[in-house]
Amino acid sequence: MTIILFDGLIYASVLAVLCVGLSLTYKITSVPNFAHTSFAILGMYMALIMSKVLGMSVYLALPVAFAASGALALFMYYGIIRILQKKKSSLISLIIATLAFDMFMIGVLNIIADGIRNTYQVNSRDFTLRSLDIVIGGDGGLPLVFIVTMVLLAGLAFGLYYLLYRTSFGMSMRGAIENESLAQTLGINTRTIFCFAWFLSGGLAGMAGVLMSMWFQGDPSLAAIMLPSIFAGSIVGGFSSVYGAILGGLLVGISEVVGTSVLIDLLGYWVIPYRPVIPFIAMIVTLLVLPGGLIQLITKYKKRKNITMKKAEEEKEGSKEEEDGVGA
Amino acid sequence: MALDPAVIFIGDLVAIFSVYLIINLSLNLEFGFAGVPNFGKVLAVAAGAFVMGTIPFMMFGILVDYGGLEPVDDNIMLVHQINAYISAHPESVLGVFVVTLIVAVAVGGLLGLASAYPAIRLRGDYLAITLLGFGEIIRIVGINHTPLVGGTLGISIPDMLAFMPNEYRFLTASFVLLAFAGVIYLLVARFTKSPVGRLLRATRDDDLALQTLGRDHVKIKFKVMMLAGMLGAVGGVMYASYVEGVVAFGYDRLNWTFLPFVMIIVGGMANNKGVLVGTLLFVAIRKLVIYYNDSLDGLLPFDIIWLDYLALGGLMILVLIFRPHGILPERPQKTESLEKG
Amino acid sequence: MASSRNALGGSSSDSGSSGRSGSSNNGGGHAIEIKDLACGYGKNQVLHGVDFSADLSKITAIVGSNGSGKSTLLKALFGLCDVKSGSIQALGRDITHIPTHAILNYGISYMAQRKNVFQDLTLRENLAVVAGRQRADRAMDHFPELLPFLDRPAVTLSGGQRQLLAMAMILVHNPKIMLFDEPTAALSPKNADIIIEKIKNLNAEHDNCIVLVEQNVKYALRNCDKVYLLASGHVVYGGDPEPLLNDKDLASKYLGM
Repeated sequence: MTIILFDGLIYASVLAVLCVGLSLTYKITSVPNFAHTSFAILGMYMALIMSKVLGMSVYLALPVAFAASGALALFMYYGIIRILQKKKSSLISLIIATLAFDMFMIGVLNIIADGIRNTYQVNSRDFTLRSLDIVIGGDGGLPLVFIVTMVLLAGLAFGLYYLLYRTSFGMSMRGAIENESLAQTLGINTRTIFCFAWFLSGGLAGMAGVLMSMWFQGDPSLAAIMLPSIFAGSIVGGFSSVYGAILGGLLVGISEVVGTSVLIDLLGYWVIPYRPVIPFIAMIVTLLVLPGGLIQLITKYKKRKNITMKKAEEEKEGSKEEEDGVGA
Repeated sequence: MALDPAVIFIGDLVAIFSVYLIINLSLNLEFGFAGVPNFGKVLAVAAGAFVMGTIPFMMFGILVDYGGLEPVDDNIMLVHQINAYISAHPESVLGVFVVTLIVAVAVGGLLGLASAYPAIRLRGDYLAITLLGFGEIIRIVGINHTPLVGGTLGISIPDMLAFMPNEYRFLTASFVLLAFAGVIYLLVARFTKSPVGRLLRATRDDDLALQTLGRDHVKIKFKVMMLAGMLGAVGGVMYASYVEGVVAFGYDRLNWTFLPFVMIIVGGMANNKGVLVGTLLFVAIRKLVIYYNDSLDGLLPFDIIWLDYLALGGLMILVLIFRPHGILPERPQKTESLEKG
Repeated sequence: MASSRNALGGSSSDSGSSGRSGSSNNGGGHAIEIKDLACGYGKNQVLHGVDFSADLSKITAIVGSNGSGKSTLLKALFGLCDVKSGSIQALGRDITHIPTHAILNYGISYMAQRKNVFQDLTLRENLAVVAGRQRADRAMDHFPELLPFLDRPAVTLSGGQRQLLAMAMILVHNPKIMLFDEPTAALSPKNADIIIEKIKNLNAEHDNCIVLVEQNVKYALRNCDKVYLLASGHVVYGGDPEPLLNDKDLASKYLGM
């Protein structure tokens, strides 16, 4: 039972961290990044290299993966997405470019995996670093990776709130997301903001990859396997909200782990490979029933409240004015 | 009599070209003309292949006494037995193949509809994600549901041309595939030049304008998805019957979704001739690469298959940046008048 | 109004731009000088050979029918459209090809016609975005009517309040030149008066150069010191507003009066 608890919470938290990054870049560039999971796989291999090849603590891989995956995301944004946007490419071209980058990264990551195995004779496929972790309270106790994962997710939720609502950089970021051209006329350096967001998104995915390999397994094929799950998490939460992403990621992650174990009890072990179907169904149901995701329930209420306040203000002035793109 | 290696090379090239031409024409209908980014093209192709991996066994079961042999468990022995029957009764192939094609077309069309249903009313990116998901799922089913097409090991399937002597069989297969591809090319070209084709491009360019014109754009997209699903399944049937087997692992995103995208974007979107050029170019290059691959093997500290991913991914990005309209860009097309005559 | 001078930084604390402007003004130059400007968006050329000038302590209005290019002229001053030929000088410096994000450093601010505040951000946050959190509150000294709403999202403001906030935001940079794109569009007459009064006050107190594009011609002519009439990308009239009001021919042809 405790294993399912750890499995569920670690997986769900890792998924939530990935969903936050995906939603962040989606909010900023309006492009769903099909290469997002490859940032996480790079993190996994950073963990493998740091621990098994260089013989250092696997936890040191967290900052290294943050930097490496962040740099990769930054490259993707600056070297591909921005160039295409400047050329006024269509949304579909941009999406295809992210898929193409994903294909490219599958090649790179597999070459890294093969290279590690052939050069250092270290198992680099379906590897797990669980045995390197510290377990507090001996066998059957509390694994450190569990604590670190929880702390990371909580820190992310709080840190994002602080950044976006308490610093003027974060406020500029929200402003630039809402209306890029206005931000530019007001002298806000939107380029720096967007680059920062992409770096953060990639870096977080890299850290998620490290944690993933310390409890579950690391393998290049996970890029394709996890992709529907993180999209499902982001969409269930509401694609363009980072808090929705945390909520959606946790929900989808937990239902994936718990749902699979329930189905194993009911139907038998053959259901294990079909696990990716669960988040996919969650996504489809969301798209059919509530395309704006769970966060839509909250924003709808807020929007209505705002419109009422605006109407009250106008009535006080005794003036009816034309709508000026409000609520758009 | 052994075939000349050059003949094998060209025969294989023609066959693979024909398979991809069918698939790319179908993707071009969805993506090039209607603007639906089908990131799950593999769904229809795999469905067609899986039908080819099951229906002929059922059909021949009526004609041949299997003697308790199972299509998956006793695969080699059973295929051998069926091939012997085909050699003796060539006329049986026609019925079996036609029925298989009809089933595949039906399944492909239904899957095209079903996979588009959840997100067809939403923005293009939601649709892309949903379709990608469907593509992943059919692979999971194919790999894990062993009774379907043999799971991870795959299966061999009866050779529809088993009645021919070996040296003719190979080139005949290539020729039949090319004929199928040619007919489909002409049909698609006719279709895209018709008023319906014009409507398709209108759907892609401006949903809103089309709605105000009173045309139901969702209905049009559904029809295209169905049609493209049917054609994709035909491509799957053709490929499976050409290689005489179905291995679920082979129906991956790179080869049956991404590669078709690369081919039609390099060739020229929404331009059937462009698709022809792009397909020919890539099939030829990839054949040459595979041909010379063996000489590289062992020199590199990794599996050369990954260079495919690097090259195709990198090339796609470069094309999108430097030549987004492909070799043969879309041209304003002369379409027939809506009023006949 | 000591506080207001504070909010605008005053001319003495202003950086380079104001000093230069002073000298160029003494030398007989204009705050803004456009010569033979041709510009547009991409391949689409909107303005053809436009000459234009505007001075400090004056309000210059640009009028014309829809599609005459009046907004484009304003955007050209702020680097928001592609200049094909001609030159733009501001405060004695050439800004013809300076990109938008650098133009603010030349002492120029621009207020867009629509969507000129961040709707989801509160008023305080809107100001913090341009000013940093400390200076945000000081910028409000000019706009006491907005003080009660500081912690409400801008989307809840009325149209007039939103224009005031947008003005407060561009004032944070202590601009010497302020460009307003139809500041009274979609406002009730009462609110339009409030906005124009604010603009006139600013101009009187701080000697800056104000250029505004106006849809309502009579309104613009009443409130400006100099007017330019544009028609299909050309300047048809440039000078004092009085003669234009009396010129029946021009007035009926271009202004529908």
